[in-house]
Amino acid sequence: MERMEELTRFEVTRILGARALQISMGSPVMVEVEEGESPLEIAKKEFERGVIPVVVIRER
Amino acid sequence: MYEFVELETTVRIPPSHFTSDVEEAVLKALENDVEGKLFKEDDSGEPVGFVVLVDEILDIEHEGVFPGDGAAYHRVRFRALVFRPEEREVTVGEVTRVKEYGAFVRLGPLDGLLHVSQILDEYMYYDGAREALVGEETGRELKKGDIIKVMIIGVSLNEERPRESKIALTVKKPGLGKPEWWE
Repeated sequence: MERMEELTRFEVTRILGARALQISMGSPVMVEVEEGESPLEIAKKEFERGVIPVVVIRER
Repeated sequence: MYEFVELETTVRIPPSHFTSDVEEAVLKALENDVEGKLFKEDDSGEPVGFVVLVDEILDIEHEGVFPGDGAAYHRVRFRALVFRPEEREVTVGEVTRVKEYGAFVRLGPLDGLLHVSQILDEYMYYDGAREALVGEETGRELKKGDIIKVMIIGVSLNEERPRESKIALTVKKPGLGKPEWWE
């Protein structure tokens, strides 16, 4: 996650969406979770902390 | 019959199975997908055979996560022990079931069918009470539990419906059949 600032808004959306979907499907989570947090909120928290286990591969 | 074969397939790991050890997760998913089933390499015609055991993973290529599905996909190259019946192969099996039209012989993970016309050079009638096929002239019989040497004369493996796979057998060649039939 070294170049987080260079991600396009579309990539960010895709990452958050995919991660939220994974969490809703039962994926282990990399941050502590409060009661009533939605998968998307959890995904956002992971993203802010830079701990989402996802790599964006760009084909240029 | 049994061979080590190098195969390739795509494996899907659902988020609920995510773990820190990717190789282990891939191996588990692969074993689950492939072991104990007829294997076909990506819609390419006939199945390769019946996978008895995944031996070793040779290579993993991480494909990624696709839109709409949270699961992780990996392309895996692996070696497996495969049961591969081939025409003209001679093998030994045990008779598991006898019907009017023939006998089913267990060859390994799969059964073959020995049609009644492929057993003896005489008419064989079906004895339902004893579940046996009996030769009209010689009285030779074939029943459940018999050990018999057979030759495979036809293979038709159905991947979607393994039960409808057909392995056709014969014993109408020298040296085949039940040991007590040999002179």
